[in-house]
Amino acid sequence: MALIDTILFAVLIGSIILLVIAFVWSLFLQRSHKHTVQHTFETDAAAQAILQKKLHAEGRDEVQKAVNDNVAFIQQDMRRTTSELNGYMQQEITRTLNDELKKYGESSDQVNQLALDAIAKTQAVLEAQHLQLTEQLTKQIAGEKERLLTRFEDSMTEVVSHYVTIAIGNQIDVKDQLDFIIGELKENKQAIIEDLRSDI
Amino acid sequence: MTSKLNTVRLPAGIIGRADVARTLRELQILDELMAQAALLVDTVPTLPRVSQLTRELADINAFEIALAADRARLIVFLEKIKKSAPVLHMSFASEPSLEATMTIIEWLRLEINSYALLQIGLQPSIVAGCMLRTANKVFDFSMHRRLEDSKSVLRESIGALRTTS
Repeated sequence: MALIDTILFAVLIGSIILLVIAFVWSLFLQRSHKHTVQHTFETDAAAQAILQKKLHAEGRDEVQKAVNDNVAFIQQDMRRTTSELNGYMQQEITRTLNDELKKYGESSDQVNQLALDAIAKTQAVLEAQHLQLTEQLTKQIAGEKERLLTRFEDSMTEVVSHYVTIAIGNQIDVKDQLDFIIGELKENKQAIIEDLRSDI
Repeated sequence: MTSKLNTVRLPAGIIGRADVARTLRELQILDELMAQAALLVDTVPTLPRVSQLTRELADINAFEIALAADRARLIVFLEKIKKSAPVLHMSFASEPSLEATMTIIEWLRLEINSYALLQIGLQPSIVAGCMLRTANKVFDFSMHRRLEDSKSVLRESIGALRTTS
């Protein structure tokens, strides 16, 4: 826009200069015609006036022609300038747009890559955690199994006794156990006698 | 105690202190009755019926219940037994029959002490066998103890199963 202003201003100044020159030239012509007319028609004021008018008209026509030529020139120049400006702006806009799109594409690619990297890292972490949890769970299950077996082994006697009691507890008469009981009493006879003696 | 009292035996039917006390009470009542009957003029005192235990006690020791002196000796004997005879506590998984109890008390009186008394208890958790408790000790003759002693065998069997599985 500054360029257009500069061009217009230059054209205006040029036009003004041309007008001044044309005016001065017309004055010069007038004066020279005036001398010639004074020499030839010194005594005819009307002819002088007509000559002045003719000179004015000629000058005016010249100026008008110069102005018209300048206007045409300015118009042509402005058209050319506008066309060049349009082309320049189109080119600049296209270039800028392409640059920005390229940058956007690069940014998108970077973001995509970052996202993929983050997903890969998260997946690796999850897999590691899964493995750790699996190991912990396996260990805990094994430990629990061992604990249960140990507890069972420690309580085996009670378990088996309870089972036998429920199964056949009321079916075994003491009479059937007499041999066993008497055998146990015989084995511990001395201990029983000594205990009774110590009590007496 | 007289020489005859030293050889007095308890019958197998008198098992515990309750039997001793019951027999003693019966003899005391009988003695009282016979004494009162003897005071009556022109009457011959007749011996009332006595329990099987009292009869056995008198029979195995060759005592005559009808005689006051023998009754007195038996009463003294039973009072001494009630006071100082050793008492053994035996617990079984189920109520023992009289026959089994008498077999045990006979062995105890033959091998341990002639005047041993037995108190029977129930302890179903022992499954089989018995628990014998004296004044100062407890003797575990139960299946529970046998199972406890043989726990290593069961543990080895389970270990073998775990190895194969």
